[in-house]
Amino acid sequence: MNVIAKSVVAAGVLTWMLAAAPLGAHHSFTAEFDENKPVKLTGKVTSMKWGNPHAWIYIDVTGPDGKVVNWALETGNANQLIRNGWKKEDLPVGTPLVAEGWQARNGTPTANVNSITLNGRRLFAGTSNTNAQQPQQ
Amino acid sequence: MANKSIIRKAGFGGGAVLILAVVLCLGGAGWGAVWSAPAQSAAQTGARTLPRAADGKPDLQGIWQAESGVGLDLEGRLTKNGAAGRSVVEGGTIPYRPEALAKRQENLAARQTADPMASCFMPGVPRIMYLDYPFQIFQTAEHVAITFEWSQVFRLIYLKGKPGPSGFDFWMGHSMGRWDGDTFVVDVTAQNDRTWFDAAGNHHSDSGHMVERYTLVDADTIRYEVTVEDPKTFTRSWKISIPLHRRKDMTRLLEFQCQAEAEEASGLFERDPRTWYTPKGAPAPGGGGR
Amino acid sequence: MKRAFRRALIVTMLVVPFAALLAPAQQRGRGGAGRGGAARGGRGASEPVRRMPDGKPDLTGMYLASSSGANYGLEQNPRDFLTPGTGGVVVDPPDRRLPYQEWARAERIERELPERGYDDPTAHCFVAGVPRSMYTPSPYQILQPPGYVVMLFERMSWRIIPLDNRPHLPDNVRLWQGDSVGHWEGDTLVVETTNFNGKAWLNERGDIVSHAQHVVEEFIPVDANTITYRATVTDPVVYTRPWTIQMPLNRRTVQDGDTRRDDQLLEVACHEDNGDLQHLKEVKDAARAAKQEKEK
Repeated sequence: MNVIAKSVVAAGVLTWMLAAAPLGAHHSFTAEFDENKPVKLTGKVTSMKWGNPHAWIYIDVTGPDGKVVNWALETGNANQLIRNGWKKEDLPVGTPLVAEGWQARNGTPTANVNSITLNGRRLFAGTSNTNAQQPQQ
Repeated sequence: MANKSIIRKAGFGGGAVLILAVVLCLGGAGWGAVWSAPAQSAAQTGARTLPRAADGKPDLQGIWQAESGVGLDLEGRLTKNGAAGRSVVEGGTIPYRPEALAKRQENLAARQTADPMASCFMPGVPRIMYLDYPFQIFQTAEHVAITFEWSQVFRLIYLKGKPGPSGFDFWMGHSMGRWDGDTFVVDVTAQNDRTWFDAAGNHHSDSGHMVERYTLVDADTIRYEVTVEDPKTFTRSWKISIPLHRRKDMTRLLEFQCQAEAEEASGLFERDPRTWYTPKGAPAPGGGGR
Repeated sequence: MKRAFRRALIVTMLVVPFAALLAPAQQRGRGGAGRGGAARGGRGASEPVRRMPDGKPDLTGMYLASSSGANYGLEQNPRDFLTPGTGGVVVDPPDRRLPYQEWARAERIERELPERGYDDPTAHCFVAGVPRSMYTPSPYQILQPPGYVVMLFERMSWRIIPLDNRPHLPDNVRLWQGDSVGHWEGDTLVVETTNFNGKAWLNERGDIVSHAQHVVEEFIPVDANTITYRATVTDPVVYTRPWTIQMPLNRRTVQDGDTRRDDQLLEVACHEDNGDLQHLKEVKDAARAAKQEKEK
């Protein structure tokens, strides 16, 4: 697939993903994550757990003290990815990325992410939350 | 009058019937199995007139359940009351590779906590088919669906259509079914390695291929056979055979919600006294759990 | 370059926003973006309702509700951090607000507090109940074997609806999904469900039902790919009068070479994969501890 076609597909997929409500989001995320604890994490993928309603990406983040902490990043659901033809090996170990989101209230290295930057390219401008300020009719 | 003609027909046709029986047995079709079923005249009459669906296939529909205790230990060593069990494994024992046998022994020792069903995780196939809970089979042109009372798990067996997405595996696998004469045959693949065969720690890898065969022996009995192919775990393929009995006393499934009941019992899921049902005559509900 | 872009694509799609745009127009049963490309979006000419051999509508296939976020609230609600805003699916009463009794309106407001997130049964991966099973954002397969309508939910649960006008279960038998009995009125499938245990929530914001819940649903086929779904809930413990929600259910299909066919269910191993419940419990326990501290 050429680059232009791919960007069309990516935009299309993103729109579709944005339009479809999160699969079986079965609890109040507001409860689990803290709006007042935004995080920006730079790290490398160590593993990925394909689950529903959430897939989890795990990344090693090296702190200013040199210590490496493995963060659990909660993202969207695996079934939507599978329905779009994605394979398990599509986000290999070692992929560097920057993630932005909100940390869990309990202070553990867990975050709900709404923005990921890959290879210097921010894939999500602003937050989806601001996009959804208005309830949909 | 009618009796006389039947007797005459039996005398004349008895030989023909014998020949037919031999031919069918040799053909290995479901009818052969029917003829070799334990003989009771009523059962044989019933077997000859199997209920059939609109498309002429044997009608497997209804509410069924395996005999109690099979799901404890396929090899029959673990039993509910310590009584002698029986193995449903052809040949008696499961042909493990040595390292897999060691893992089975570890599982067995740790089963109170290590058994995935102890955490109310999905049982996988074939274990879901022989729990101590009933299930209901439905047949349509494109699917056979099985709904289980246990935690409302279901299996959707595809008669047409595609195998699942490659590279992913599922707790309940992916099932493709077809008819082989009067036997319903199901290929189950894409099962993860997180499920056991029973409560005794018998396990498999994520590369397993189970082939199920459902044969309606009579209107109230299905012979359920599973051939397991999993060279990572076993030295050869192996087979189990279990009768499933029609629950003639039931008109509908109820619910056994495993995790909900466990959490209610432990207080992890608290009663809401204003909305939850209280049986009449029960003490007035308090203001919540622990 | 190619590989990096592909990776970027993956990550893009991973970032499903929890406060997603909920544009019902996007949720058509024409497969997702990224598949085939050609026959996507828009309905084109609508095909007539399919028929079973007995002439009844053929509703079989895989569906997903276009629910305006009903799993996050049945009324219109603004966004709350990661909980999406909702468009509202109440069509009766005419003011589109649920007719709560006073005690229930207060409870409903309280359920939105962070520490109540743990109390949503679906946070524990328990079954969603009725009507919530029809609008949790997971697809389901509808089958019509002889004498029944059977619904299999990707979010692992089922509903079995016999069509033989049998009486309901005895009053003391109570179920999460209730006890359903259905019949056809012309081309509409009407389903009555009773015998609820009162343990379910209607959605994440905590719209309320009790053991007294009685639901009448109508499945009204519009064309081969769309069913209008209506549910009328009567619950004298919670509400001052019955109310009705309505939303379309859209057939989910995929392009497979030259043909468009029904999509297939995947699996949701909600309980097996549940990584969130412990966090929610901590929030609840912390709030409870703080409250007890205050009362000292």
